[in-house]
Amino acid sequence: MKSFEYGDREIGTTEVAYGVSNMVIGFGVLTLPRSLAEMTESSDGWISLVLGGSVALAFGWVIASLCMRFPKMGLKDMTKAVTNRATANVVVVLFACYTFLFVGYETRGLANISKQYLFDRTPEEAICLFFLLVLAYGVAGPSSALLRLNLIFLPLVLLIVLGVLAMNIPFFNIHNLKPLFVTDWKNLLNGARGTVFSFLGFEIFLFYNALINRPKTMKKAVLGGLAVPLLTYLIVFVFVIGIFGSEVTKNTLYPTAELAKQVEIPGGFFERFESIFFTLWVVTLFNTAAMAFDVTIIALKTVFPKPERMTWIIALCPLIYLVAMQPQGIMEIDRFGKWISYAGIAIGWILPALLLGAAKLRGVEGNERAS
Amino acid sequence: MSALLRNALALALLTLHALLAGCWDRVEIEDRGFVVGSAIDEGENGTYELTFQFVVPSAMQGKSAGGGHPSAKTFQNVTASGMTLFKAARKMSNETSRPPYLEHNKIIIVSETLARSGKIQEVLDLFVRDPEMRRAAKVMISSGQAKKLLDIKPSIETLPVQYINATSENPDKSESIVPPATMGLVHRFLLEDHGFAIPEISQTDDKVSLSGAAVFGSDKKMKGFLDGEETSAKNYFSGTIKAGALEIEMGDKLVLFEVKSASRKISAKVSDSKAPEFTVNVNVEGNIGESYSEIDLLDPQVIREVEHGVDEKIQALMYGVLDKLQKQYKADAIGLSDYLNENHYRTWQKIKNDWDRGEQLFSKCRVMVKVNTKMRIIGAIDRVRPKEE
Repeated sequence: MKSFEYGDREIGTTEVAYGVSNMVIGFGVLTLPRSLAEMTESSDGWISLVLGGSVALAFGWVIASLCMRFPKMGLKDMTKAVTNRATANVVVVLFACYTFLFVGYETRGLANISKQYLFDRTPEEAICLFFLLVLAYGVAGPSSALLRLNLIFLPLVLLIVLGVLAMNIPFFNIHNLKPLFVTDWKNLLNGARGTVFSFLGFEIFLFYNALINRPKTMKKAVLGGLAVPLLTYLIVFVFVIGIFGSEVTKNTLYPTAELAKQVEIPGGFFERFESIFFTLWVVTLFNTAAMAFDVTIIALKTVFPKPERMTWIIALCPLIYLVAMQPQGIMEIDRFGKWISYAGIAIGWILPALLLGAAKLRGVEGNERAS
Repeated sequence: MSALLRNALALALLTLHALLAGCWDRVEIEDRGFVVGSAIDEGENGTYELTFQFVVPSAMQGKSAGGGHPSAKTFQNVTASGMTLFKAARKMSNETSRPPYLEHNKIIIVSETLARSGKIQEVLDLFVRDPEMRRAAKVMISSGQAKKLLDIKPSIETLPVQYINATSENPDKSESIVPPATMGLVHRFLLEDHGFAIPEISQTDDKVSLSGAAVFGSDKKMKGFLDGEETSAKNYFSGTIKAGALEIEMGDKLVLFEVKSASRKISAKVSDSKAPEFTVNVNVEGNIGESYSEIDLLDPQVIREVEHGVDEKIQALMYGVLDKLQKQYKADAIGLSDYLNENHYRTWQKIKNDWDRGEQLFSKCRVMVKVNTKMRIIGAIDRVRPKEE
């Protein structure tokens, strides 16, 4: 161990693993149980979840391999090494568009749920505005600081999620999980397709690769980081079904939030436990959105290196706000999210897979292979 | 930038900060009307009559400190009617100084008339939809008017709702209370395809009674009430017995058997999906609580006789309620459909529309009840009556 570990602006294996987990755990925890229960019967959704998770792990492997092949290089340099400069610029700008829209979506989604459960009368416009201001402050610093923040936030988030589940154990009814294995494979695959979206986010490490000081451990870090959300989703799903049953889960917009709401701690003081749950959950969304925002700026800076980081932040903030305010109502927010997810899978997963394939075929490698 | 200008700017920003970071949703706790319980009755011309029980905090303070205003009422009931409950709740803001705040609503009482006319889905929608509500609130069906129950003057607890709430937690001591049906659970009943039972609440003078249950069919209409004994039999079927007491006759004198634990296991033959056959095995363990008889409880033979007596008693109770549910109410509130859904999914999918609707398979199916009792302790003495020669 170095005597002054955090003196540089690099990130290690732990930061990557935590960053991947925190980036992936987002809205999924709240909405995944419902979308899974809708598409599968009884408690069979876990099979879909495992299938979807495996797909995500496969792409995690692809992205980690790509990063290891081109150590210390960002997506632009990788693409340039495999193809040419023009293609690289197009790819990076597309990626920036995706993460940019992603920030807008996160902001709006957060405002929407906060309004429903926390602030009944605060307009969404105001919630979005304040969230964006904090985001801007968050990304104003160096990326490594943002990534290190995950080390504090992720344990807190996992703790609160597990805490909510633990306090719901008295309501857990094993009979709700039965019957097992009754969904046909078509619906299982359908469900799996839906769950894949919940694992989006870790592709941003294609950019953070430039900061990583031990590229050799990348695979371990990414796959380990993905295992945490997969496990969390599995436990949350099983608990939600075990407590509410399949029918109620289908008909509840945010089943996990309802779990938090029905917790009753004797003594009266903590009767509104969900407010603590939401507070911490906003924290993880903040980090997710901040990392996406940060990557947007990094991506744009590699293509247009002239403007300063602050200039980009100030220029992007109003645009993000406009994007966030576009969807009208929950259905449009959902559809917006779906489109972004498709874009994310195309740009963040399939494209790197193609890149890796091309790199292998043409035998292109990063110059400083060992480190 | 001069120092003065910089300071002025800093000051301006600070002031702005104070203005911006105000809490939009702040409501002073003094301005909230805390609702602890609600009752819903049928009003005139198809309206709903909604009653909220508000806490009067100042009176509560007096009560707990043992002084203050001993005569002051600790609660206030406000009733309003409307075509929808939301509208009715809004109307209340015209009549109370503090608008209703439902985060602490513990109890929802629905009147029998509404339940029988199948309005329970409409009535409860608001209570699960509104994010201010909690799924842990308990739902009960009142025999008679619902709002009268909120007017009871309890002597141990300070609020009528506290009294009702605490009583509903007593299935540990009484076999004839069905476990509380929380709003979340009822939401589930309403979405799923089977009958169910919700605790009944009734009133005698200044007391409430929670013994009994309201039975609903899969059409979500209330079919009728079960009395205390039938409810305990229903609890044996559902496996929700926590404790109980049974009086059995041994040589025309009463012996009381205290049920300490009971479990039930269902098995079914579904070879003919149109006529499933069920066997319900109930295992009961317990003690002798009281004996007026001269029988010798240290004699293994006598113990077997007592156990057998208990078996028959429970069996009779269970067949009784089964008959009522199958023939009279035609509603499966004892969980047979759940069992089919969990363990014979394909069969259940085929027949679920004919279970208590259509072909009425539930009313026709055969159910065998087997009870097996184990007596553990006879108490500290053998008898209080000399053996008759």
